[in-house]
Amino acid sequence: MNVLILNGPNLNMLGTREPEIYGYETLHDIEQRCTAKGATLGLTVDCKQSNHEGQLIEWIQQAISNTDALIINAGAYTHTSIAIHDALKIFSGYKIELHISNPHLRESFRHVSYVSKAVDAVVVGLGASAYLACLETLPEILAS
Amino acid sequence: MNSKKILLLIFRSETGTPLTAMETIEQQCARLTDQLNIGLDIHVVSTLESLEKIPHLVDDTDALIVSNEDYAKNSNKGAAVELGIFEAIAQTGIPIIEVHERNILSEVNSRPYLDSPEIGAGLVSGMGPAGYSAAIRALARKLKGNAA
Repeated sequence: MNVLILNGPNLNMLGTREPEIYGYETLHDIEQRCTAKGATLGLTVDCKQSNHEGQLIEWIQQAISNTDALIINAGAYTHTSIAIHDALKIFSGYKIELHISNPHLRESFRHVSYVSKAVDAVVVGLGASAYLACLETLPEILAS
Repeated sequence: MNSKKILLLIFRSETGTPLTAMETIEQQCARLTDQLNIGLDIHVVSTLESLEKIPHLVDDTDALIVSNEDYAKNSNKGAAVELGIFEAIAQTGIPIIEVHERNILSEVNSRPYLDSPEIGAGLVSGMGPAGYSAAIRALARKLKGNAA
């Protein structure tokens, strides 16, 4: 089973960006752990990050033909990007929206998510370990 | 011997049809917490009496999963606020995750059940009953300080 983990703008700054909110782990650490965890679960995990909306859309489109599940943390594009929403609607595999913090408990401009409307599940506020929890739960979800 | 314990609070209406049978949720969660060597208590909140027990139960736990079942919408929320249940939970400072089987956030203007920054809950929405598993895994990792 192929899983794509997509991270959006500013997530390349994890570890240094507001660590009291986002934690001290770097994105590289998280991606390494996800790839290793995926291998133990029989999942092939591919991790990508971009600060550019169009690049994220390209990767979602490319995933349509070869990916079973997508975990996306679209960062601030979550609250603005109808284009990412539309690309996600085209992707027919299982889709999880993930945020390290809980946007619903933060500024009101983070309460709207275009991504939530286009995915199967939303996981927020569980910290960086949410990536692993999602990967570990994917086989159970897809088997049901 | 499990040194850490998770409490699963399920707000469930006395009438209506739940998405997943209680027995299924209990078996699934018990199997996983056994694997992870974490203790588990499950408390169904459907009456005022069961609501009043929450502060006592929360005192004796390390982490909390709250599920307000979708068909029950805001069941007991008003009573819980009046009784100071959420304030009591917030004061414990324990990690909390809210679970919804259906993706409530795909709906217009839908908000989490626990939307108070003071409580600071995480949220798993739309994974079906597997959402309980995701929440348990995340909490177990946090309680054990285990990154792997």
